[in-house]
Amino acid sequence: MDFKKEIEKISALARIELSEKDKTKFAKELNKILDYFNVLQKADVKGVQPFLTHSESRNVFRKDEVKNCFDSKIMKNDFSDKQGNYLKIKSVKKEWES
Amino acid sequence: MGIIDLTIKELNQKIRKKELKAVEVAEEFLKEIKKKEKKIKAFLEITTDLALKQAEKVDEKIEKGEEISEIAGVPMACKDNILVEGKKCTAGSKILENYIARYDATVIKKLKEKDFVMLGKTNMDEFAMGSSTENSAFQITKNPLDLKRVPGGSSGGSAAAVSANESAYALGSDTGGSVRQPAAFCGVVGLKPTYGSVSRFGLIAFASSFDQIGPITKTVGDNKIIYDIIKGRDDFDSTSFSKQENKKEKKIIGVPKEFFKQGLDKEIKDKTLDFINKLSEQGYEIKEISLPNSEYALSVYYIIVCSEASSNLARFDGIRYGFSEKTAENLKEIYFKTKGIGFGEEVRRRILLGTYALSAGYYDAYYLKAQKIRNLIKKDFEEIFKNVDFILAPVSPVLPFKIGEKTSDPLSMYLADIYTIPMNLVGVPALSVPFSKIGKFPISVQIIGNYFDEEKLFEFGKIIENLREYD
Repeated sequence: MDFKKEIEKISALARIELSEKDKTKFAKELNKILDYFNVLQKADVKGVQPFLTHSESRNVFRKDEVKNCFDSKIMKNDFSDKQGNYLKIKSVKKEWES
Repeated sequence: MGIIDLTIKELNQKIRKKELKAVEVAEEFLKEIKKKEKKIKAFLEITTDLALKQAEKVDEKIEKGEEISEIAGVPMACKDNILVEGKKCTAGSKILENYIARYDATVIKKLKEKDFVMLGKTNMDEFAMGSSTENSAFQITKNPLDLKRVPGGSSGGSAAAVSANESAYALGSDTGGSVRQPAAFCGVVGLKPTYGSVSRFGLIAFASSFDQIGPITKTVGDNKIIYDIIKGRDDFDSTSFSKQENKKEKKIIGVPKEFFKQGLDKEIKDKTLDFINKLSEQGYEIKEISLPNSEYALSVYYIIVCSEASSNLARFDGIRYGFSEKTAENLKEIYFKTKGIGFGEEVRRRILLGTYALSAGYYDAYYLKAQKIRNLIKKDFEEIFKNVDFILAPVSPVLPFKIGEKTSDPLSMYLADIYTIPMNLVGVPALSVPFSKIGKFPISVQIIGNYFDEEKLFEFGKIIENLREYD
């Protein structure tokens, strides 16, 4: 299997840009790691449920009330780009093709 | 013995009795950091002003005759994936290089209420992904016992700081061994608490069904002091819970035969088996046990951990906070370039692996199958704890390795976690305690208890400390 094609597909899914060199390197390494994972094929899991959570309680409820909030003036400082009180991003029209 | 050699308990006693001022203690540790940091590089940031201010507050309380807590005035170091309000929190990543925490993690809030003193934030593998601290985007931490060797990881900065007397104790986080293995490599004590016993609120998420914050200390007694403060249910972490501990009188130790097979360093094996004999002479009943599904643990662990990481780390998109690549021309490019440049190699590798395991066509064969086997491994442990009180095992299959030795082969680095990851898969607590030495390197055993058996682990850990073959 040409694993480099697979790497291109998953890096697109993960939204990570990779150089050609990285693609070749990761393809080789991930192939080796996935080979190692083949050991799982011999495990018999007939009738076994998948693990879901460590917690004994499935749902945790609390009252829906406002508690401490972060100061928007401070939080705004973290934005990559802003205009007035708004978080500013680049246009999503047209550019988003795939 | 100098100030920096003292345990939490001893330092706190001396401060209480006014034999030492808290400021004096903090200054002494800061002096030691200044002296050693160029070589060891355990810290990413040293918070001198904060430490002195916190120490002054303790001295003022004592002057006024107010009661102080069991850790007041004792300096600590905090792994840089735990948020401390107003301080940088990088998780060892370029993508968070300039990120300033906007709130305190619950563990920090609890320590603050007890007047803790924080000396700084410690180095780590990027997003806690690694076993040697070589994956930090900023610096390589050296093992204080041998500067050519790694301190282990991912909490390598925290373990090195405690081992080098740069800090009295430290906080780390353990997803697959990241507290226990560096503690073992640096000859100090490290606890991976029961999953859910310590709040993860304010811990930068790597793999949410595995991550636990744990103390790294010089002694088992110190470890208990910190664990007792940070544990407990938290409204901000719905997976956290408090539970009464079981009290049992039995002294049965299970030794899993699968952990002593190929891959384990011969000297570590011999010393560990000798030590088990010694415990038998002390009246413990030793039982050989089997964890039949443990051969799958490493694969299961990496499949699920990478899957969870690929989801957790999707939030670093270059928009709301953190690094953002400015050359991008449109929104899509911001995502691709920010992640491509901001994440280091191991983080990218794991996100890709996780995305693959979760993608259409592979989900059943990898992720779903791994979660089923995870339940099989959990059942193995549940069965065993019907008949034994503790499981005893090595922490690491090898002694601290040389810097650069494993960086070119990711799989060989993953194998460094082989004895620590089953406990994270299952959620049971484990304490790493040094018991002997090979050359200059202390070696540790891992004592594993049933869920919420921390109290029993500390009691048994103290016995191991007393049987230790060196000072």
